[in-house]
Amino acid sequence: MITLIIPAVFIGLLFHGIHRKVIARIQERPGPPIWQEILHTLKFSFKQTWIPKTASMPMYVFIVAVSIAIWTGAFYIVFSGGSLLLLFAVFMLHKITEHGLGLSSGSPYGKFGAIRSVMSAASEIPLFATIAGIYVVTGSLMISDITRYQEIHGPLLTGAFPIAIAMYIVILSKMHYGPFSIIEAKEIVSGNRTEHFGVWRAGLEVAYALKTFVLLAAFVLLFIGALPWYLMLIAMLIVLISLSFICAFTPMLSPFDAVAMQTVITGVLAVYIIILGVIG
Amino acid sequence: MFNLPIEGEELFALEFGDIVNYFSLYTTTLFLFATAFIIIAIIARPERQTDIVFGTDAVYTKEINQDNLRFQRFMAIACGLATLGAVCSGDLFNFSLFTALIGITNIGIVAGVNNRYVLNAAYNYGIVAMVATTFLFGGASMALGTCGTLSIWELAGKGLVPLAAKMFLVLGVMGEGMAPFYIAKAEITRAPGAPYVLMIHVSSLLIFLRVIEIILTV
Amino acid sequence: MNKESYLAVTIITAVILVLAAYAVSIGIEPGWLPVIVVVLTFPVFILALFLWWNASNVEGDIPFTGY
Repeated sequence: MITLIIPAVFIGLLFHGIHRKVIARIQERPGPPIWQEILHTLKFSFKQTWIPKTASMPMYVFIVAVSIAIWTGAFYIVFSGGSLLLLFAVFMLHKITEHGLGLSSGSPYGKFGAIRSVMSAASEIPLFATIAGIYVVTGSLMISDITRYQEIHGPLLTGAFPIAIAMYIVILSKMHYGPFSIIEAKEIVSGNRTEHFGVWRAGLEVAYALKTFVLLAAFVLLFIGALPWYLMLIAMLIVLISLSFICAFTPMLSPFDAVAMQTVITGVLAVYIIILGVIG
Repeated sequence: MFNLPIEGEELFALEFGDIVNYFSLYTTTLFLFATAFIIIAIIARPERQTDIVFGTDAVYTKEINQDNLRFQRFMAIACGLATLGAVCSGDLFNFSLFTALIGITNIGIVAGVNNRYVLNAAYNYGIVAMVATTFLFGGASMALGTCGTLSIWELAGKGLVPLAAKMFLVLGVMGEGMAPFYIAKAEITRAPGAPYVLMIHVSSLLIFLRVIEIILTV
Repeated sequence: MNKESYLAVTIITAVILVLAAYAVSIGIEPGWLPVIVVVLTFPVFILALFLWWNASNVEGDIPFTGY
């Protein structure tokens, strides 16, 4: 399984490229080739690299390594059928790394990106609704148990559709160019990644590629069930393209609208879970 | 271990009578993460914030007061240690106590900045944290009143703890971990010391993650 | 650090990663140990690899970094 981590990085980067391509085609642009993000990462890794004088060392470098480490961990949690709660923890720790990325450089743009990242921690609340919902339905939080449940009772996508929607929104909030990606809005340059250039940026691209791969794989495993690897990849691609459509059609929300929207979704889900818990 | 399909396998348990401090895969991950950020708070030098003079092209870096930073660093390390305690304690009361300590040290980190507005904000957080303490210990005492024990190990999987007590614990944690309030105010842009400010968020999120584990377990 | 030390770190971490992969294939107990090793070494491997091929082996001028 350890040997899969490098292919996962490349597939994740390819997914980013496909995401950009689909958005471009919907907006009637030719768009970059789909392997553009792989080239992008390599390009960044060859660029001249140093550490800004104002940066907080060694946090500036450490936070990039942490970013890669947590998604490597998440990769194993998902594919070894580990605890969903642990995956949830990784999603939250990702917020901390995003925050740290922005704070560590001393740049005001980074700092605003960092603040928005903590503010959009509201986007993690639907995830908690997902976890509570799955626990109510399947009685377990181990991913291996959940896939086994689906082999018997059919996929959760049809069995517990609102929970799948919640997870979908969590993934949407973590996609590039999406309605909730306020932390990388262009009015704050590149948000929390503004001051991480060269090798550091390449490291972050690796982490985010793993992130996209893990998120899509987790969605497929949790709501469709265990599939052979090629069907799994196709299912992930379908989920990704549906996300790209949403990203292409929606404008970026303002920070407070993004938070309000996610909170409303969580409220609706909380009602659903309470009803589910009482009736079921 | 209590063999619940929630947080992965048990790695280590230390018994003190019926109070069992334990490390599962889940709490170990949180523990390691907190440890990493304590080390960073110890060794990292703070960032020098750059600011743009309004209406011009001029950019300047803010001066950092060494004494204040020393205090902030101390508070950040104390906060990290309290987080370690909250993450690995197997007892609702100890958890509440460590969480209250996190609230206090969080205020300390903010209050280390010599700025009228930031201090004013720290005062507001103090009030929120104090109010939250009521819910936190209220939740723990309700659990004790209904079940006769505070040990998470004993209570695990029995579903004895009333929903109100769980709600109180969550409310208390949300008040003590002040990250959500902190980012909503403009003072965060004024406070320097990235490794220490980050510790506020690390501790807030980690106790939130831990309380979710607790309310699902008990 | 210079190019050689980055290369050394890259090779050491790569060896650790290969050993961890081998440990998984023979089914070592406890199962989480190689995972923790990979989580800790993979980021170092990636960053050291990038820094290695990024680092120049000639003594250059200090680059112009703006006003």
